[in-house]
Amino acid sequence: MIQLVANLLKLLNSEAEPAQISLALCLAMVLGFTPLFSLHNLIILFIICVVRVNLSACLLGWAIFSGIAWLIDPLFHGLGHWILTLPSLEGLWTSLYNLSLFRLARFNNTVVMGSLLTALVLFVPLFLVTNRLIAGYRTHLLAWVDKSRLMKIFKASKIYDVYKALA
Amino acid sequence: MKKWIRIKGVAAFAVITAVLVLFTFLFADRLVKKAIETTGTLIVGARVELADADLSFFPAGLSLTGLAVTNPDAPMRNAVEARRIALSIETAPLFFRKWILPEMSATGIRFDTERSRSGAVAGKEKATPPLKPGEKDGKTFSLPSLDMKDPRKILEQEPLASLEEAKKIQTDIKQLETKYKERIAALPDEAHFKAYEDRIKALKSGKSGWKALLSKASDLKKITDEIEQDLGTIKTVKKDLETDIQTLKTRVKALPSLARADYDRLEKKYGPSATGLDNVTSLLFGDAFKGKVATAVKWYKKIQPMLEKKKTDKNAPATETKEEAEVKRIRGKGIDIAFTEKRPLPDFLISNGSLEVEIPAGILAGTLKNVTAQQPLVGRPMALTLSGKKLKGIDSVALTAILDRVSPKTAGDRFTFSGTGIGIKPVGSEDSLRMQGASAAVTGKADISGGTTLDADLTAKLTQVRFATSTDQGKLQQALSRSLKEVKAFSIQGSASGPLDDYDLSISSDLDTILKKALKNATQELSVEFGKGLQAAIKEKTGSAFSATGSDLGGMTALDDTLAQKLQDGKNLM
Repeated sequence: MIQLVANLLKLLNSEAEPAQISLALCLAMVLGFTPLFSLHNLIILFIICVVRVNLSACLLGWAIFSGIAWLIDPLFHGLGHWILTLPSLEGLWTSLYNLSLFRLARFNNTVVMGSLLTALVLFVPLFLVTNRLIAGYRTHLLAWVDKSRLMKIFKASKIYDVYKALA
Repeated sequence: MKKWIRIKGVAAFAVITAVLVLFTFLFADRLVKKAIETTGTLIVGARVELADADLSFFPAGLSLTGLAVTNPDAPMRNAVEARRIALSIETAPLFFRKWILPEMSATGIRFDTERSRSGAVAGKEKATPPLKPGEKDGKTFSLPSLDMKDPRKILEQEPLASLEEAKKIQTDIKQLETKYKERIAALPDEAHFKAYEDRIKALKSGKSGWKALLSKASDLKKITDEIEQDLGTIKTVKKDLETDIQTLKTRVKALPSLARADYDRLEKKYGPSATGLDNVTSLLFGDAFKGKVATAVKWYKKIQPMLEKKKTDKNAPATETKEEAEVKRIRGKGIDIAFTEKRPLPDFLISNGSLEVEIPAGILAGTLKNVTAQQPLVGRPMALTLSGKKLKGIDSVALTAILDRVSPKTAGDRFTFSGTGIGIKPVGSEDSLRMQGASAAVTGKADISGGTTLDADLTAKLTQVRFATSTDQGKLQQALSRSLKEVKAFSIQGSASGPLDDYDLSISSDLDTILKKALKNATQELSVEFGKGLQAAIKEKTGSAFSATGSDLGGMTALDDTLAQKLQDGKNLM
């Protein structure tokens, strides 16, 4: 855990592109929100492996978003139920239901549908917001944080040793 | 663009995927075993264990070894055990998350076997609630009373209406006696009448002038009026007394009739009678019949939810029941919404199965077809057959079950059973009735319409019947034993009907008729003896009270004589 936090700090302060970190967090959101053993997560895993996103950010994001998902699963269920029972979409769902690929993807499960839809809707906004936050942090806060008393305490801690070792 | 693509990532992805696939291949057996144990335990409510599961991929199949399903009501026993279950699996439907099993073979199936450790699931232990005072444990068959009680002991417990009436009469006589004595005391006595006599004598003597005569005539009239008034008062008291005496006499006279009524009531209640033996069949077979029906109904209720899949209503509002909410807290759970399929298949189906059931008497072979919770999709009902011949203590036995949920309109389940040469184990108790053995030919059927209403009947023809001699030396028990010794064959009819939660049981037999007829003479003889004893006991208990009422009534009559004397004394003055 300490190593993971250290990685994140290193990452935030490194030369890594903010977009790479943001994309990692967005992909982690999909991975964390939706049930892990879902077919679409294989695609997410493929993207994480092939696209240069930061793995540390991805792992940390996955842990955080999984925790959030555990809390808001009932909301995912409600949303999924609503979208899957919309009369106007019944034709679409029926067509997909008769395709084995989509059946394996469990699209007709209320939690899978609700969580995936939520993750996809939030994907772009989260990407943009985190992108700006990271850029802002590096521009305005990094120097101030570096000089702060809290950072001085932190630098004296074990976490910082690990961070330094990794740096 | 180059800085965004990680070519080595493809290899990493391939490795991760390969590891996942390898993991699935290597641990598939364990995962299947765990899944069956977990799901089974959840459904049954008691531990479901599997010794081994072997999943094969080419061709797809599953072999389960050492399946043990704990009886949730008796955690130290298995409800069912199977040595081996081999299943073939259709691969294509698996992509649609459908488990279609064309063939199944189950061997070494045994019921109600012992477990080495408890199969109870924590928090699922069921405590049988204690019966409330006066509450009966279900519908029980009553035992016939074969005891002939001592009449004196009966009278110690039973109140006698005749005796109570005699005691009441005695109390009433005493009260009336006191009351009339007081009233008589207030009436004119001898001295009072003597005073009248003296006054009359005084009138006769003295002056005889016309004025004096007129005065005497007036006085005499006055005396006469007074005497008549006194006589009237005496007459009223006498009349009241005579009425009360008459009432008491009537009540005393009715005492023997009341004693007779007491006798009739007690003779009917405690007297030896063949009517008490009209449920010998229930006594011998009732508990077993009741137990078998209760067990069958209990297991039917457990299986029932698995016969029909709960439909997912697409239009139902997404409101949460408490149970649903709990389910949703488990990460990743939800509801699978079903849509119309082009080629609908059930989620789970065993098309054909062969069974080998081991019972203490031997092995039953059978078939199982169309096992699914979605019969409308298959278009055929679930069917089970089991049969065996030349088993230990059984010539032949056959069982069929059709569980039809194809159409809601015609939903109904039918079970039939037949068996010949079934050896019946000893039943009953040695001190009352005990059948040592018999051979039975049994046929039975049970229909459960709509999954709620039971209509079952059973006929058993028993031959080579052997009844034991009762160890009880009571006259009636011995007479019963003699009659049963002559019975070599009889038949039993049993039925169970009504709602599954509250069905009525009945069991009858021509054994009851045979016994009733044979015991009629025996009970008649004993009835005479019992009747004499009871009569004597009643007479002994009521005799003194009855005679006391007669003597007490004599005291009342004496009072009437006193009043008659007073009346005569008054009339003599006139």
